[in-house]
Amino acid sequence: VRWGGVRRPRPGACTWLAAVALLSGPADAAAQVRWVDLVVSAGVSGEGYRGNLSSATVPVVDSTDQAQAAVGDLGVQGSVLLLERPASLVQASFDLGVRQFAASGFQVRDYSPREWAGVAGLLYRQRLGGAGTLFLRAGYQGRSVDDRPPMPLFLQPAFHRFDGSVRYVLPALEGVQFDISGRLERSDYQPPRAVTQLDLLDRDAAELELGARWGVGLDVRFYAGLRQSEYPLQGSFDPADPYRRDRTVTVGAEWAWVATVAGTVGLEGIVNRSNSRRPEYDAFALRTELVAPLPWGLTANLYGVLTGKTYVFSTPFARLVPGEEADAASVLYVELARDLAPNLASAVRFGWTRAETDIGESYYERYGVSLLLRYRPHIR
Amino acid sequence: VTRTRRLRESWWARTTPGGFFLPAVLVLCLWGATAEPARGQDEGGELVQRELEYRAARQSYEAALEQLRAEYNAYTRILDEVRIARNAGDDAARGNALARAYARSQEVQRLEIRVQESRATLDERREGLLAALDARLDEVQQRLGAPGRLTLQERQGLEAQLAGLASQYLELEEQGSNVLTPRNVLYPSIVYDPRDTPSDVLFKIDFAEGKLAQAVSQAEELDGQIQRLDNLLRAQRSRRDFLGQLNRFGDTQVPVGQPGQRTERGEGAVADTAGVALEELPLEQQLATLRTFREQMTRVIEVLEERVRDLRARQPRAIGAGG
Repeated sequence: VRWGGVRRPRPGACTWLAAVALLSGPADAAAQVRWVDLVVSAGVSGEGYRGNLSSATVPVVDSTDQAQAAVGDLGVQGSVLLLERPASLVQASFDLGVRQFAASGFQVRDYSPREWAGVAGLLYRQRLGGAGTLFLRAGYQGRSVDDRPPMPLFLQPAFHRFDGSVRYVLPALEGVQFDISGRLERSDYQPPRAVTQLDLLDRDAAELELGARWGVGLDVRFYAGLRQSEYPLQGSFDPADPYRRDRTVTVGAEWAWVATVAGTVGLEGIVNRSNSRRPEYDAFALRTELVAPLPWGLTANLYGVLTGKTYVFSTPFARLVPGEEADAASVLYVELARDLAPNLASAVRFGWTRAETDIGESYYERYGVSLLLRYRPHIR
Repeated sequence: VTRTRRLRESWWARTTPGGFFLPAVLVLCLWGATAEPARGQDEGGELVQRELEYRAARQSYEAALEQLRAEYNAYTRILDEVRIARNAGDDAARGNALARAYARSQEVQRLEIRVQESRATLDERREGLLAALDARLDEVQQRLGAPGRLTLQERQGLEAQLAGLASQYLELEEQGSNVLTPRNVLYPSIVYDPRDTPSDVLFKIDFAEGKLAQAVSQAEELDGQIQRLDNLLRAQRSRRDFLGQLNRFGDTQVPVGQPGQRTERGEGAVADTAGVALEELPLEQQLATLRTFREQMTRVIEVLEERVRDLRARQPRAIGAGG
């Protein structure tokens, strides 16, 4: 990956070095900091992909409509309390991972894509006595992809993203807790030389959200948000206002409960309007998460998303990145996990994704099964 | 052991009254120093130094134990409040009392650790003083055994010194085995007293058994709570791991909402994840607190069982004495 023409280590390498440093010293660091959690995970998967599609964001096209891949991934996720006082705390968190595919079934050649992904964040929380709680956060997220394959094996593109947010949670008033948050974001996509159109997704965004939460046992939160996004490299086809600017209004509700079976269900409506006619759309998203203890020490997890999207104006040319700006998508993941030891858990995960890509009414599918191990070195 | 046996068998150990030893030793050390300045000053000085260190350690231990005793009293009073609220069916009062009991249990744990540390220091200082006394005893004995060099007055002085040192040695050893422990200061009123009448003993047995039943019931309830929280924590971790791994490579990215958003709203979104994780953190701390509380309940149960056994064993004697 190049930044400003200078060859530098890929972000993954840096973050992995940081991870090794962190992993090597939790016990020593324990005197100064407290680990909230640290989990090292590894997995192997078999995946299949279907759909004879092209994508504007992948440099190569392959005529196959089916592909397979053996996948291995390794990651580490953790959070550390750097400062812990009754009224305030500082917490650092990170999540780093690498995933290697060995893909076959393509007409032109086999591919070996490799993804590096990392997130790092620093959170400051300050309790303001009876006046509520303030959260300040700064974070970075990045990913890179080598040997990005053609469809139907879709992988998210590489990018760097920096964001900062402030969130203020008011004290509960007659059982209702209001919150307000603001967030700034800058995203910089990292296109391969042949797919410079990915740069069109570079954006700066600002958003504001208001929420209200109440309930005991069954917790309900309603929220409404406004987001302003600017795409400095994307044209609007309006000479008077040449660069794309979007305004997105989001209204949603989320129900969460903690019982024998715990979970959340969220329903969200989105209205996106722009100075460019092409990306104006109305959409909804329904999300569900469930976690349930089962006999024999098993735990079941489910995650599902169903989305629908309608563009206000039909456009004859391809949209942008599937998964970023494509149409409808459905995602379903189910996992059965079991502790093998107090600090070691295993899991079997089944996954299915169906998403519309650049070309309307054309869907790609992804399905797979994974075997996973999760190790928490700080638990004895 | 050899030294102790030898001292116990010796005439001065049998004849010297306990409690007299310290001033005697100090005076005799000074006398010894006058008699033989260079050597005596060093050895006497070290003995005094060890003695002072031991006394400081003992005071520190007793102060820590006294604090623990006060904390135990407050703690057991709160446990009574929990029982009273539970019997009255007053959930609010019970919850309040339990919250205070959890908080107290943290303080009790802190003081128990302090007492343990003070006890370790005390044992170390005692060993140090015993070693210094041992060396001094050897040295005095050697001087006594040296032929034809001592006047009668010097010999009598050394013998008196030897008696004082031996007495101190034995008393110090006895103190080592008679040090009060945290167990002794828990429920101090439920201890057999030789002046107890049979009815006093019976009352104490009933009282201890009542406390024991209450503690066992509380412990069972705690086990249930710990199990529930443990399951909840395991489920939370499982969920966090599941979503974390899914989101790591953007596999759950959907084409609506915030483009490029790594995770879902309110759950693992980077801006909120840490907040959510912190809100989850009290669950782990709560579990740790409950476990501490449970360990203390185990100790309470053990002590009460021991007291009931002891009181029952003394019951016939008390009846006999009273009758």
